[in-house]
Amino acid sequence: MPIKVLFVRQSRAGYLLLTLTLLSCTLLAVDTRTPLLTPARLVIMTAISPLHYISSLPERVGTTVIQAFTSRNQLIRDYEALKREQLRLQGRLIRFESIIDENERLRQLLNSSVRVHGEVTAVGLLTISTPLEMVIDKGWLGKISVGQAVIDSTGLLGQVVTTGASISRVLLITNKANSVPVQVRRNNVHAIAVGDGKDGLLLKDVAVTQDIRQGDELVSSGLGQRFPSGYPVGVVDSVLRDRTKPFAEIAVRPSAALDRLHHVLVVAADRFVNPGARSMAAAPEAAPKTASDPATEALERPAPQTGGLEN
Amino acid sequence: MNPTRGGWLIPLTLIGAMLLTVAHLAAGVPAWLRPDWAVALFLFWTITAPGRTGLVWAWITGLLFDVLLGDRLGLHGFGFALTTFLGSRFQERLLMYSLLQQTAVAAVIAATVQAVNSLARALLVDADLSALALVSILTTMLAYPLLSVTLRPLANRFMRQ
Repeated sequence: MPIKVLFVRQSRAGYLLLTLTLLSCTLLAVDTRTPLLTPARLVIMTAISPLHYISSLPERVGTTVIQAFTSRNQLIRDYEALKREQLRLQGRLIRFESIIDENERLRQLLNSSVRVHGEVTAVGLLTISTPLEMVIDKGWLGKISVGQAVIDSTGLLGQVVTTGASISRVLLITNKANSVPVQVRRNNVHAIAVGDGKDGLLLKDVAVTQDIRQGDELVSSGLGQRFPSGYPVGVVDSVLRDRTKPFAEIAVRPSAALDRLHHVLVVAADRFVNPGARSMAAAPEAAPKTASDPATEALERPAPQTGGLEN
Repeated sequence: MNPTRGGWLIPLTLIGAMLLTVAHLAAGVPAWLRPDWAVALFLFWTITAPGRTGLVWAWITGLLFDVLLGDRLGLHGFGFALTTFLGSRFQERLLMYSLLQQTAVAAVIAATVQAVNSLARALLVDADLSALALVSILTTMLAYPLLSVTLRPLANRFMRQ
C-alpha cells in the first residue's frame, strides 16, 4: 500500500526565487560594469516620471495656496525689494560684462583659446530621492543633456547623469561618485574635490606642503571641461596635516545649500574656441543666441587692438 | 477572497508606496527615517490575498523602484521577491498570527532585505554602510501594522464577493 503523502506542498516557488535572485545578480553586474541597460532605464524613467510630479504636488499646492493668500502689502514690499536687488545686480553685471570683454581681448592678445560660457536653463526641483541625488523637472525635451552642470544662486550643486523625456537625474557634488576640479580663489592652487558621501567634500591628493588653509574659498576651475569655471564650490572646513602621510586631509563644506532647494539652473560646460578657428567655430552655433551671450558677441566682434599691436 | 475581484487594489497601493518613497520629507527630517513601504506592502498582500502577488511581479516592481531611487537595476527586485516568497510560503501560519506577531515577522524580513540592499550598495557604488540604516528597519516594522489596519478594511470591502 502506497504511503499517503500529507502536508507536502509541491511548489516551484523556491526555484523561481533562485532564478530571480540570479537574474538580479546578473542585472546588477551588467548595470555596474557596462552601459548596456541605460536604454531600459530611460524607458522606465520616462514611464514613471509622473510619479515624481505627483509626489511633489503637495508642496507645489502648498506654495500656490501660500501665494494666493499673500497680502497685497507683502507683495508690494517683496516687489520693491526685488526691484532694488535687480537694480543692484544689473549694476554689477554691467561691470562684469566689460570685464568679460576685456578678458576676451586679453586672451586674443595672448593668442590663447577663448572661453565661451555655456547657456543657462532654469529648472524646478522635483524630488531629492536619496540625499545625494535629485530629480529635476526637465529632460531632453527641455534641451537638458547628460554632463551639464547644475548650480543655484550660491554655487555648484552637481551634474546631470541621466535624462528622461521630461525629468533628469542630478548627481550632487557631495556624492562619492562625483569629482569637481577646483582652485583656491586666494592663490589659484588646483585640486580635485570629491564628495564624501554625506554632506561635504574632500580634497584629494593635496601634498602636505600645499598652501591651503581653513576658510579658503574654492571655485570650479573648469578643467576637465565638465563643470563650467568660476562657480563657488565650497569653503575649506578643516585641514589636517600629518607629517607621516604624503597628502593632507582637507574637508570642504559646500557653498550651495543642498538641503533647501527649490529652483536650480542647468549650465552647459564652457567651450573653448581657438582664435584662429573662431570664424568657423563660433558662427554657426552662436547665431541664434547672439543677443543673450556677451561672450559670444565679443567673439564675433573683431578686436581692434590686435591689429594695432601687431604693427 | 474572490480571486477575480479588486485586482486593481494591489497595483494602486504599490503606486502609493512609490509616491511615499519619493515624497518630500519636511526639511531636517533625515532620509533614513523613511520606512521601506514596498516590503511592508508585499508582506501584507501575500498574507491577506494569497495568490494575488507573484514572485515575478514583485521582482518587476523592484525594477521600477531601482529607477525611481537611482539604484542599480535588480537591487530591489531580490528583496521584494524574497518578501513575497517568505510571505506566501508561510501564508497559512502568518494569517493565524496576531498583528503583533506579524509585525515581528515584518521586522525580520525588513532587516534581511535592508542588509542585502545596504551590502549591495556598499559593494557596487561604494556607498557608506551606516548604522542608521537599522532605523529604517524599525520604521518599516512600525509601518506594517499601520498598513495592515488601513488596508484590511479595503481588502475586505473590494476583494470579497
